[in-house]
Amino acid sequence: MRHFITAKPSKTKSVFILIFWLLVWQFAYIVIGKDIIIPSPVSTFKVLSQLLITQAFYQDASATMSRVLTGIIISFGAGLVTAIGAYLIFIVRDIMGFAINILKSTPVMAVIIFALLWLPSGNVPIFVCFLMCYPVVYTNVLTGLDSLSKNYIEMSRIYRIRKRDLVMSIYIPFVAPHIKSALSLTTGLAWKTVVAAEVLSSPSFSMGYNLLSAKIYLDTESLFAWIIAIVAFSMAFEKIVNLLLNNRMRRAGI
Amino acid sequence: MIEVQNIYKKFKKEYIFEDFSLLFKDNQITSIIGPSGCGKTTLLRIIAGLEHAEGGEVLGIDQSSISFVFQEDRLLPWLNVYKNIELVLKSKLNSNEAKHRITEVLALLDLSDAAEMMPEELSGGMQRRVAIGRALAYDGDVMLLDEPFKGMDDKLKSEILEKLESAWTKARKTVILVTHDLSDARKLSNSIYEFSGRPLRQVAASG
Repeated sequence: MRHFITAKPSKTKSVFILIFWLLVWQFAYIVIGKDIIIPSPVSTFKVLSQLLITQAFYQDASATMSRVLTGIIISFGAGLVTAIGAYLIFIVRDIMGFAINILKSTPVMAVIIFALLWLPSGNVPIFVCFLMCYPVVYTNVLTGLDSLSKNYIEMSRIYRIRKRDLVMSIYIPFVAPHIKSALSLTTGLAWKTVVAAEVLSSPSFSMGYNLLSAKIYLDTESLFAWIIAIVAFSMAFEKIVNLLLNNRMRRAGI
Repeated sequence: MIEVQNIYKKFKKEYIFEDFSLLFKDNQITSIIGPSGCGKTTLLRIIAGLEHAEGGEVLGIDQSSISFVFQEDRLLPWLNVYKNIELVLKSKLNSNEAKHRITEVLALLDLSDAAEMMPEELSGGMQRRVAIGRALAYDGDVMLLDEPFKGMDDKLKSEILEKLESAWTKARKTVILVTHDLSDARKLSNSIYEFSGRPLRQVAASG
């Protein structure tokens, strides 16, 4: 009998999976034999370790991280407010539905180019991050609100449950899993869009700008090292956010 | 006395109530029996203000003093038994009064040991008792029960009937019970209305 349950791999298994992919990388490096196309894992990690001891690396990483955070916070603020508006007022739902459909179909590059015309380079990644993450937040929160059973609303009407208790004990616990799912979807997306926008807008401190310089100077080892750093930051960021949210939800008994 | 006066209510294009009137005596248990779809639940919902009638009115009832046992338990899965009941008391009682009331109701329904349990940890019968307990604890004069014994086996049903009867003896609320089972209605009620046919215009009380 076959089981289709995908279990989370154990730590030892994860290490083996990592080693497997490093070996694939090494193999590809040997087969291609050109450092300019694929650098060796050893030299890439050497460059990465050199990067990690420079102050500039942390300046760039923290600038990118703060853009990711700002983009996510603005997306959540706007997404929550407009989703609540759309839930309560039908015309808001229609108006927002149109805008969300347009945003969902707009290529990220088009947004970046548009933003470059309007905003200072440091703010372009935040704006792009917001435009890409906002529809995800809006859609998730609205879906959560819409799925709230009419039964609970009727029960709260009968028992004259106070508005504050209605929000704290019914709406928030009901929508929280949808917010969590929006957060988990947007953290990865936010890193991708912020870095993409940084590559094109080239703000003075940014991880994206370093990708661009590595490409201009054909420094593939640096390019790979920066990519590894960005992926590591993105994954760590997602893990921390999920951990904090899970703790908060557990404490609230959701 | 609760007076349902000359109400009209239609579903799609068919009237289920047409110039329909009914009286419910205070501090008594009145049952409404009848087959599925005859309008029993709709009438309860109109009395509770959850549904509007196209015509007529319901007199003699303060809608803030109604408690309702729905066909489904409607317990919040993220709150334990105590908090599920406490939630509906917060608008009327302070936390000490609520605590006292909840302890009393849980004892009455043999649920004292389940206060900290989550709904998913309870059996179907216990969940039903919590829903009844929530309605009993609420500071209201009128209690509406919509098929409270639905899906229960005879043993559980008689257990809950007994609890409900002893709770009513203590509080003497005006109770309207909707059921499709005449024997349940007979065991519990002071009077019974039988609904049948569409549209409903008049019914006579029996019992």
